Amino acid sequence: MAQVVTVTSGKGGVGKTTSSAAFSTGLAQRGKKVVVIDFDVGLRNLDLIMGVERRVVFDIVNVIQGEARLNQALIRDKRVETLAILPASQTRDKDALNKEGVAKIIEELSKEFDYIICDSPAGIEKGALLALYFADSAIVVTNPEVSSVRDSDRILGVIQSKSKRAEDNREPVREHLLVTRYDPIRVAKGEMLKLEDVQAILAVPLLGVIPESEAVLKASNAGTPVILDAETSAAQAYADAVSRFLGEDKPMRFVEAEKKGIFGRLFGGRAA
Amino acid sequence: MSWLNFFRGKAEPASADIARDRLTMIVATGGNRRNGDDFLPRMQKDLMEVVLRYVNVDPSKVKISTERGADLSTLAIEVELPPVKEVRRAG
Ligand SMILES: Nc1ncnc2c1ncn2[C@@H]1O[C@H](COP(=O)(O)OP(=O)(O)OP(=O)(O)O)[C@@H](O)[C@H]1O
Ligand SMILES: [Mg+2]
Repeated sequence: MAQVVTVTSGKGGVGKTTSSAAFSTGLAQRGKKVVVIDFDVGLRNLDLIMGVERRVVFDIVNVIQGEARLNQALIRDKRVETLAILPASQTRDKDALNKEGVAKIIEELSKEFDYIICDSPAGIEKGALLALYFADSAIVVTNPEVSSVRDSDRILGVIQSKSKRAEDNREPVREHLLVTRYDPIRVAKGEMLKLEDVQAILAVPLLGVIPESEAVLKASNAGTPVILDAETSAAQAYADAVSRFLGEDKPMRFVEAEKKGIFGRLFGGRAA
Repeated sequence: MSWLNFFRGKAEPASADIARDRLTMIVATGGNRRNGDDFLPRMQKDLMEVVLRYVNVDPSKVKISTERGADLSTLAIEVELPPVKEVRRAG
């Protein structure tokens, strides 16, 4: 049986799609069979971040409405063999998705894949609810910033009350916190929430910390999941998160401001 | 504190700390994580009925409160009982 992992946040623009792309690619690099589903119907993005936009023929709505078979809609990644993408529709409205349709798709995907990663749309409305309904685990993507943290707290409540696991009174959805766009220098200056504070407020086990990184924008420009730019800090932080998800013990990296050298200390003390 | 900070004088509270305190307040009251059809209001109503079935008190003398913290959450039921004589009469 495949494990369903929903990447969610409540707040928009915090890095769900970036993380979904990186995380699913990372899992597939580790030999797992992974499919990543874009639940952002009407505003699809995952295909662009994954660099497969020109290969989209059918999408999840076509499959649900019986206009295409699942296998026709799945896009097999050319870089990592065991990875596939199920795109969202660009044109339909959100109501085109429903529980029964998604249930069928997940059931069918479970036969082939080990992990089904769901890239949730922002908000706590229908699309986001559907993306988390079938979750076994949830990765809550949070920026170190007040509205993102509050929305993460909110979505954690939704996960524990509106998921299928909650409805069926089964073991609760396993929660993971992924802090993204973390800037240790701003934290050291007291301008940005500390990792420990975010974690204490949300009280969810920490899966990883992804630093603010120019590599993310560059990777999205190129349509490459950032985890494939292996020498970058963002890629390494995502790879560590994947390892932790698979049960390995990895110390957090990129969470301390680099110690400045003697010149930095003499001349850079006031750096903006 | 580095020596540079020392010469800059005492820093005002960091904005990140203000953010932390505000968020801690929001989360500690518990209202945020609960959404709409939460079980708590229903549980309060049921608990209230049970209490009133056994003790004859003014409903305003029954206080049910919850507090959510990072490590510990509590549910407190506080019933202000009338003098002993009146309780017996209630049975
Ligand atoms: N670690 C990072 N460093 C720098 N920029 C980042 C980082 N993570 C994400 N971003 C940027 O933040 C923006 C939003 O990212 P993304 O699209 O992944 O968010 P999202 O949560 O999926 O948004 P939406 O809610 O609209 O679906 C993008 O421009 C992305 O490049
Ligand atoms: Mg997105």
